[in-house]
Amino acid sequence: MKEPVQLYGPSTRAGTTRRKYPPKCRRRRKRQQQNRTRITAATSSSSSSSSSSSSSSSSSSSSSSSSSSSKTRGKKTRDKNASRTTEGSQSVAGEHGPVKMSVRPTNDESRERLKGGCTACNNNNNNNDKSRHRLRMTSSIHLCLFAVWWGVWLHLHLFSYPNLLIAVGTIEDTKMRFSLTPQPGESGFIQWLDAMKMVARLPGGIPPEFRRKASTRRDFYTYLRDYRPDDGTDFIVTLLWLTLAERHLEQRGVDWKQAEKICFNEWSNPDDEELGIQIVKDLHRTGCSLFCGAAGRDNQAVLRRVLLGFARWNKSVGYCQGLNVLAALVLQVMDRAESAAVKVMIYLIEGVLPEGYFADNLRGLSVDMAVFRDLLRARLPKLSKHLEALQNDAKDKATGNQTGCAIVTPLFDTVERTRDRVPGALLPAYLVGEKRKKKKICVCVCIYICPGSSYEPPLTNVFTMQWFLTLFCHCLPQEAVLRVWDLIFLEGDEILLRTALAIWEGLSDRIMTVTSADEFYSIMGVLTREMLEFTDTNNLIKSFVELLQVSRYQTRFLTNDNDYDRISMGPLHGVTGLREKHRYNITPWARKLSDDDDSDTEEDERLAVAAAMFSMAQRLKKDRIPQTIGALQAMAPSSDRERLALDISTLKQQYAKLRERQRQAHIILSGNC
Amino acid sequence: MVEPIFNYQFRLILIGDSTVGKSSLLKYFTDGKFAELSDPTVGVDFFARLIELKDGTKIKLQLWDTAGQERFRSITKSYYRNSVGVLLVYDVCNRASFEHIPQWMMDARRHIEPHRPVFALVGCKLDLVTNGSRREVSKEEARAFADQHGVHHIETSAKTGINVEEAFRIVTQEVYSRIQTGEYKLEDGWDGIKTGFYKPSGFDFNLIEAEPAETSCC
Repeated sequence: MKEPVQLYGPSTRAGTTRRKYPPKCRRRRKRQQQNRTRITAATSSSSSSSSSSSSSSSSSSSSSSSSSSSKTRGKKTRDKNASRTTEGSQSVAGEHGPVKMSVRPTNDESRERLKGGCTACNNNNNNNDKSRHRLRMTSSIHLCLFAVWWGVWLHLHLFSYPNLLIAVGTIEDTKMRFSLTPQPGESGFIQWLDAMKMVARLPGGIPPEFRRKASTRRDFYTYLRDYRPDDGTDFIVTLLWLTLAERHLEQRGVDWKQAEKICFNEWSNPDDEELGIQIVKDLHRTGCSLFCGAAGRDNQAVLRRVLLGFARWNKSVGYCQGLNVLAALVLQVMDRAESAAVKVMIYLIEGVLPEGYFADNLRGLSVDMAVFRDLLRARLPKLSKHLEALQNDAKDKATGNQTGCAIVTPLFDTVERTRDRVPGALLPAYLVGEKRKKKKICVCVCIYICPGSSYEPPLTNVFTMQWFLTLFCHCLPQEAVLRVWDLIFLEGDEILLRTALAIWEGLSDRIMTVTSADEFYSIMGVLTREMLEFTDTNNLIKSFVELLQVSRYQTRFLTNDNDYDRISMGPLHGVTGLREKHRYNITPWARKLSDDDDSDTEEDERLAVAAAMFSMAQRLKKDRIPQTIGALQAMAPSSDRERLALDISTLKQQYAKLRERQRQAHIILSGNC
Repeated sequence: MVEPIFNYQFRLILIGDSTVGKSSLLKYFTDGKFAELSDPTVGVDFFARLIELKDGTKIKLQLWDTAGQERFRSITKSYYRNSVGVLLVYDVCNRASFEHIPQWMMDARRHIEPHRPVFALVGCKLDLVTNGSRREVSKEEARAFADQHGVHHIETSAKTGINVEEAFRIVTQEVYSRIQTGEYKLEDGWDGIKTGFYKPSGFDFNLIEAEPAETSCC
């Protein structure tokens, strides 16, 4: 019923296709809208109950208009459709394609649709209406099967464009139509990107050759010939990483020809030597089969050029251990194309990963490790609590007894913040006093007790650090690594956190059985080895892709807090906020001190702490003092101290303030005894 | 009380420039063989091994391997703190790696303060010298440096396995003697040394609530 031309018409957009609808299709749209209203009513009465015929009949049509629901449902149908031939799948996609294309929902509409879609998901297959509907669907599928397939087939033979849109897969969603290269224009790119994201989430994921640019038509034919929706491996088409990388460079207005000359020139630059030494040191020990042994020698030279090329491109990052691992994998995927590999590296490090993963004392990495701990606390509270207990337990045992030192912090510091800085600090034990400024509580001093001043870094850090720096290259089997990378390229850096969450979740049962930090580290050695061999890629991807689907399409339409609560199981919203928070916590930005109120507050906090600490220390027994001061030092980030030391005039001002605060704290403390 | 399989646990850390052979040394010590191919350490890595001293004391060594590259220091330094022993590793065929040792030593001292760790200066890749490579750090020079700072010195090869065991053993022995002379105390609030015996938990929340009030009382 649809001409195949609609399948691969170059980026037909909303308004235009709407007019082209054949009457039958229009009728369906009308019915669909009616259904939607009914579904909404049903949802409001009981959201979880699987509603009856109305939603079932709309399940296919309305889902094609709501991305999230179609995807959830798509997964269900995927299994059933697995046995169908490619043609069958294409026809399904073809039938529903234009419906989807025409709909660009407004917010209100889409929220309704969202609910409708969710209800539709809950349908069970025993529903009679649904099976009738399916029957009708199947017959129409058979009817249009031939037309569509021949359309595609003819097109393949008549036109030699490799950038042909085809509908592949078993999901009834136009997003599944993907092109080998993005269509020109922004919309074309977005469409392509959506399709790629979709494929990346499927079992099997993106075929290996998608990741680089293979331009021959033969590849394409092979792809079609060999395509099996289920086998998950070894089929063809082209370019994913490179297209994204090239687009990134293009958007930044990079003249690649020029840049390439700088990256790959034969003369050495003054800084090359130092860079080169470290790079060469790591070449022979890059644990990738491509670079080992006698045959690896040439490849090592290629790797060296790529790493040096990137280091010349981005001087602030230069070369960081770990980049060799990344570059090795990129080169392997890019079939040793140096220039392409550098492009992909640039995109990965500058366009995808957060800033400071490999440079700037790896601050970005530290931030993400802290963010991850927060996420772990929220997502896997049981595991997180257990790990924290192990971490603290290590200290308790070391201390022997719990006569720890007291830590005084402003109440501004949440418990979490304090515990991050002074791990092991227990709950605030003693509220000392507060100071109000402009009717707001400004400084509120409370005492934390921590059992000794020992410091055990959070247990997860050792592992998340390695995972994030090598993007899981050393902890997952390569198949899984590539799948994760695809998602990182497509969806962004959040995938790192998700993957890590999924991994810890998988390990949690085993970790829950350990009883000490040492045991934890030992068992992790075993677990990581097992992970490298036995990780089931599809399960891993599935476990976080499910979250992903919710996040992408639901948060977009949700405005009020209740909505967020309802779906809070899904997305990792707030990652940006967490990153901000920890960036401040880990290394506070250097801010010029002035007398205005804002900067005062921050200083006040610190001075109050210092002052209270000081007077406190005087009261503590002699042998407590070093510990107390040690704790204070642990709290004040070192860069702060350096910054303050630099500016003498500021120091003078602060000294005056300090003395005043000291007096105040003194009063507060003595008043409370 | 649980009968421990070890009497003490010491935490040791290996530091030094990148590619001097820290990981290889450690892998030989824990696995008993030389790893031909080892990826550069990214961040930190953890190993453990049980050794028995001459007097039969069983010591569990918790071994921390660190990345040598400069930019990792801000991350690795948090693992210094709880270490009782520090192996300062350099490459006998790499002058620069030896010249950086004082810097590494200072770093470690600063972060382990107020505790005083046991240091050992460990030269690596001795096999290269016997294979005809040019030695850039003479044994005498390293020994002189070690004596000056009052630390042990040993030259090793992770490829042939020569002196690897000894390198770790001298540090362990030294820590143990310091415990016996009373220089190190176990109740120090420090993870560097732990005893294998589990103490009955003395954790008492009331005590904690009460303490600040008590100590801050005028």
